Amino acid sequence: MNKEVLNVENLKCNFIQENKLFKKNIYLKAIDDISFKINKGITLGIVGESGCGKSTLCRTILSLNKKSSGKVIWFERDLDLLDAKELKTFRKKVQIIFQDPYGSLNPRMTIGNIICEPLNIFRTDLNKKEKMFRVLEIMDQVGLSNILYNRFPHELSGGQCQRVGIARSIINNPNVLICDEPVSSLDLSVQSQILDLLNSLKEKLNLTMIFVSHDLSVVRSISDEVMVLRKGRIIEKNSVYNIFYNPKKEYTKELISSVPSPLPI
Amino acid sequence: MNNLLEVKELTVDFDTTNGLFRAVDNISFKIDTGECIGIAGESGSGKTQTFFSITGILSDNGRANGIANFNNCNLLSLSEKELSRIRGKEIGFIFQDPMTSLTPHMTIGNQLIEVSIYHENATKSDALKKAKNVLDIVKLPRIDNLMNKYPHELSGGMRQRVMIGMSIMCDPKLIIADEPTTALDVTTQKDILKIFNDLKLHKNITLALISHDIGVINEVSDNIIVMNNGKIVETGICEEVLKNPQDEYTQHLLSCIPDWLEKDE
Amino acid sequence: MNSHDNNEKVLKKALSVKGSSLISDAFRRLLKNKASLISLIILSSIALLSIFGPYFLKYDFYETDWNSIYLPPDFSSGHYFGTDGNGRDLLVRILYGGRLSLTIGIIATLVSVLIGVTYGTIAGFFGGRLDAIMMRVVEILYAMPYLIFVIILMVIFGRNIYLLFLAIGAVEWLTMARIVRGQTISIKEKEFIEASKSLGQSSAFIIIKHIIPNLAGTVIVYITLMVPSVIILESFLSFLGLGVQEPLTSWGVLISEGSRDMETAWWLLIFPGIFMVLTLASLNFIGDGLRDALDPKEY
Repeated sequence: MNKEVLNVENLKCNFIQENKLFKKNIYLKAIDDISFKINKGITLGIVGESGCGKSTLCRTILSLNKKSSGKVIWFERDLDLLDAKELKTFRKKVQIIFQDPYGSLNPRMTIGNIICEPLNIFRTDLNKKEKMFRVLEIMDQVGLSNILYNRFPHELSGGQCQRVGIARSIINNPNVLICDEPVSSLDLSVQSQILDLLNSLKEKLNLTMIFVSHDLSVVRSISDEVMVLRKGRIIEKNSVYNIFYNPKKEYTKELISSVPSPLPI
Repeated sequence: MNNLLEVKELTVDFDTTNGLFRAVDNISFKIDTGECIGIAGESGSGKTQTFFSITGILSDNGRANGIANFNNCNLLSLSEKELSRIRGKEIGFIFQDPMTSLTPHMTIGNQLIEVSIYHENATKSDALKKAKNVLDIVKLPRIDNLMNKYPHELSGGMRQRVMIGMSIMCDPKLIIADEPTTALDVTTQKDILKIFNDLKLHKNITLALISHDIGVINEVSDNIIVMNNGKIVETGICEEVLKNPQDEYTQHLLSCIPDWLEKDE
Repeated sequence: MNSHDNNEKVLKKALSVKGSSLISDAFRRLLKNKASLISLIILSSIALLSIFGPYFLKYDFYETDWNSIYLPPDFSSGHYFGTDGNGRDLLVRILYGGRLSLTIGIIATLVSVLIGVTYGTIAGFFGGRLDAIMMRVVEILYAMPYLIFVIILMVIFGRNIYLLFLAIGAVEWLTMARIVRGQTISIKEKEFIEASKSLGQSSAFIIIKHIIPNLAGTVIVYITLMVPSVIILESFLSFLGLGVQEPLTSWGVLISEGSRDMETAWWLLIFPGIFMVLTLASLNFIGDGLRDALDPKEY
């Protein structure tokens, strides 16, 4: 059964570029009329060069940014019309992983407390010990040794920090996971471990994912569908196979041909 | 072919609060004139520190031991003053972040001219002519206009071209490029790599290309050095190493690259 | 439940390894810095002396010894630092003055930190129009000549030590608020704040749990630089005769009195001066050391 999880309709997001006192403000169209749908269990890869609006799109879907117009519909409910209780469920079930492994963790908190934060908000029914068990369970699931529980982020490697970020985002069993360049600042070998982890979690938790990256090879390895963005607009959206072997648009072709091949042909 | 740079038993140590840290561990290699060598490795492998130590731009707490014969003189035994004469003139540098390696308060033209005046005692008009010529080589448009611009007015790709131009101002014997395309988009990266290939073809430069991206190295280099934990694990002709890696680490590194052209469904 | 025991075991193991926080790391680095370590020792001995010293001396700070007026430092009579024009023991007065100067330094600083941090984080975190208004208020207050402000306060309400705290605190929090606001703006751009927002965490919680702890470094450094400036400010006010009242005393008052008799009784200026300079220098060195310790560039 193909069920729509997220449905984005005519989403626009403008930023004020120049704020003039007596004249009209000049706006930058970061996202310009984007519409797409994601079905359950699908991973949508979003690629584009820097400044194409891919990160803004993620933040706007999560309403961390104010949108200028358009709709985000989550399980047939318009985000603008959610009541407080529904909004809380949305916050619980739609999660994000960020690019900077260190920047996304509060440097003054222990790993255990960081992962526990979502539990403190949404699972007030659990007592302290139950929360700890849950945190340790999830740490195990993402491949973090439990002796890291009382450590601080600066004592961990980049890959471990990224696992902490993943643990925090999946601890409440979300149904949508938005990954904003999750492997861009990691070394190659760590990158492949994180991708493997995300792939396995996707199946285990039946996640719907939006995976943003500037790296086409990474997107290709994890996505079912790919959307190419440029200057805030959708250039092309299609299945992975079609995007990479049968690109329709000139820009997509250029993008694909630009990737240096590591294997001599 | 003659050796341009011969490094023998180079070791680089850093004084840290936790004692000595060995970044580069007893490595030896050669670069021939006209050769393009790629240095691959993950972060912390010592690939950058190797070249920093040779050119004397290690941070204060670093110490280098060994021999680095460049043009029959040991770079490691030279004084800071002698080294600064060689840097820029005989050895050109291209860094990862073109914004921080260009001075923000000087126009592009003045920065280029300064290099030539400092190293070659050129007259201002000669230097100007040379600067224009160099910008033409790196395929920058509207050069006269560009000479009067400040770095922040240019895009990342253009800045990096200016950097390449600056590095070849004095016709250096060796160009060291430290992650020159890491901060750039793929399409821009492709253009930059093309410039390197053109320079190789027409100006017969000697290039040491440091990168974590094996694809980038494969596009440009003839030979490759793979580094891990401060040691050289494998060297050889680029194509052969990538096709048929002998060392376990190289094999591991190559296996981590997300499937690019193999996955056909 | 069999897995329960297993869980307990895992938990015990997990809790057995303690991490080292940025602050405790910084403290360790601070103690490695010789200048800071010595300063720390000097400062704490001055503080301890001021607190407990007077109990071991035979004179009281208001007590007049009619036999020894303007007595130079003298060990036989027990006036180790000499006496002043009223025959009062200088050492005990310096120690009492120290109590007052340090108390004012610490309390006025704490007051201004409390106001400044609250004000600054709110302005910085919410931004926009609120921030603009709040910062304009700070600028207006900055523009007021504080000395006149203090003098008017003193004239209206009379000389009063609590008023002194208030007057100094009212001046010092402005700078704190500005610094904190700037830091808050840079911290709130960090991804962990966004992560918390995406969980639907309330603004108050984010400020308390995520922003204020990350301000700690800056604020601590600033405190060590603020305490001396408060002590100097109090001395200045006392010097003008607006500070503490006789027979109570502070270092500022002692120095002010000492400077009057400088030519006849040098000890009245030199000894309080030494105490004050040592304290201020130590605090500055500690501040410097803390700044390096909290911001380790070389790793």
